[in-house]
Amino acid sequence: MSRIGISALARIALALIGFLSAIVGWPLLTAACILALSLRYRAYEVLVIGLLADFLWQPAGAHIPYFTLGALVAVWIFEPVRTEFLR
Amino acid sequence: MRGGTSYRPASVASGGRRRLFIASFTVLVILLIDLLSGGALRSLARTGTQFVSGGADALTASVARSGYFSTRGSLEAQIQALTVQIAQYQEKAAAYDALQGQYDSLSRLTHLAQTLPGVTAPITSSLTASPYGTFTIGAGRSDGVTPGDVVLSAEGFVIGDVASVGAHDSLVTELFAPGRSTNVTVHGASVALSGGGGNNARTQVPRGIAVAPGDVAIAPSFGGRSVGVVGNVASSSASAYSDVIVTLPVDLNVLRFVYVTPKK
Repeated sequence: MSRIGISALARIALALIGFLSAIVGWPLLTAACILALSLRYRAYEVLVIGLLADFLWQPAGAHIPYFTLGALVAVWIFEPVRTEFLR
Repeated sequence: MRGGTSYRPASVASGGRRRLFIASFTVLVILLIDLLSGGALRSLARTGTQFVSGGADALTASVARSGYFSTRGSLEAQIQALTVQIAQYQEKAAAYDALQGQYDSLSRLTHLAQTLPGVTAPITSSLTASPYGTFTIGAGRSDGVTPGDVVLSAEGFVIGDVASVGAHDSLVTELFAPGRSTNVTVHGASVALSGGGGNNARTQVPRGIAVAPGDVAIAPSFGGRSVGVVGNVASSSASAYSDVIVTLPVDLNVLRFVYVTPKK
């Protein structure tokens, strides 16, 4: 299997784990997946994972959506590193 | 460059960054729409993912039933049964102390409890793993549940209150959720309990007040219901206050049903 294929598979696996952990309610695993995906890929899905975790577990109203904001910060803070070094 | 790293052309990076910006903006718009609609989108998300949660539970149960992990499974079943038993004894003992200490004032409430309006609801998510100290129950608007309703254990301890309501499910915020503050009275002293998660809350009381383990914490804002018992009191001569840990005498790991009653 090519290197790109393995990389894509790893991304899909991490995203699936992230989605499932957000649904089941394992916050540390969700956060770990968000960080890992953001570090290695320009992963739009981490925004959805963060949003899902907040939507499922946070009451409606004026609360700070930590997972969504965390995903936004992670995906942007690693952008220079990804742009510079990673394919 | 060898391996999975290389320098990327500026034009490719710029295009990707633009798409990332659009995605980020979209997420913020979704959040805003949900906020303005009073949580309509998150209610939809909860309804949609209940199938996945239910599927995961069914898969776990079928693996346990298959006998593949029979030795481990039987031991876990025994531990689970014993844990349930201990939890029931602890809850009953705490409830007995609460009733014993306040027999006169609670006699009317005890009588009222027999005719308390409300619904019994199953817990449809984990009570211990939620990142925000929340859990979902299988009763919603169609069952008469409204935001602010009080969620009680079988022995009448307040576990939390309903934060948001869907058609057939609701999100409950635990009373001892991290960062949540609740005014209670302990041994006659009015204090603010700060939720610490994991069934515990913390407060400080003046050393002159003789708070002891086993004292019941009562929340006037929840109709004078019990919210927990004092688990530990730590004081030192250098401080004017004692650190008091209040715990909920209900094992949330084994809780399957709760009682939802309107807040008065």
